[in-house]
Amino acid sequence: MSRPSKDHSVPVGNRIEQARSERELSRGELADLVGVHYQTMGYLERGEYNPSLELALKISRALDIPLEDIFWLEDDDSEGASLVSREQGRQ
Amino acid sequence: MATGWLGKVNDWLWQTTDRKGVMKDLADTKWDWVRTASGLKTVISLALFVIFVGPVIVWFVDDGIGVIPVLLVVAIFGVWFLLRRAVRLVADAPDEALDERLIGIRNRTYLSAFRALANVVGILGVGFLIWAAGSDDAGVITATVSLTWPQANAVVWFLFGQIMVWPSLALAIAINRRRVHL
Repeated sequence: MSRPSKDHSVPVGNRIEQARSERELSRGELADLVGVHYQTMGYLERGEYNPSLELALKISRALDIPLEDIFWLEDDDSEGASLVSREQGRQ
Repeated sequence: MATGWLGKVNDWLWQTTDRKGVMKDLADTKWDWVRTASGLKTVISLALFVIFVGPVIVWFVDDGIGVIPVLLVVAIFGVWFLLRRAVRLVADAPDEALDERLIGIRNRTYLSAFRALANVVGILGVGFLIWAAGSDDAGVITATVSLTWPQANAVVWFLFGQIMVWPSLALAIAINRRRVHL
């Protein structure tokens, strides 16, 4: 079973754990709120698993924080990177 | 995820657990000894022995009363049980029992399991064809298959074991190689 290629992927950062702690939610409680297993929430918080858009939006709603304030691309030039991606997509 | 009668049949045959069972196994600690590195290696080795060496023993050893094939079937169910504990039922779970990360793991597991099964069955099929090939008096190539009862048992239970064990075995191997974490 080979790993998904990460050659072209940009690391995604998040502050789920910080936001969760601020709201005094346990990992299990947040996992229940967004409908994932407890272990998966750990992988999300450590940035070892990138959520689908649906799950990201559920987390955003559960924590009552805009999506872009919880998740971000680790490269600073995200706008530039997205432009490059769009250009590459057209080719 | 059943769509149509074929989907329902597939679900009935392959989704051998439910949300409750998976939740229980994901939190289980009683079977942690099969999830340790050495435990996992042992179970994987045992499973490979049972599904590959077991049928060979059945093929060559005729005990006259058919106990050896029964022992093989029991062993197949035994390693299947242990493997399911080792992978916390994830390989056999329906969508509703898993979240998106675990669904991805299960789906990739099935890709690996299918490839492994296809390789084994493909090699077996070609080997069987070569074994059965012959020619008649006119020099025309023929295929004659004549199996004793133990040999027929060996073929059937070999296929049964491969089909049954590979999904959980593929996931156990991936975990053992640290490519997957449940």
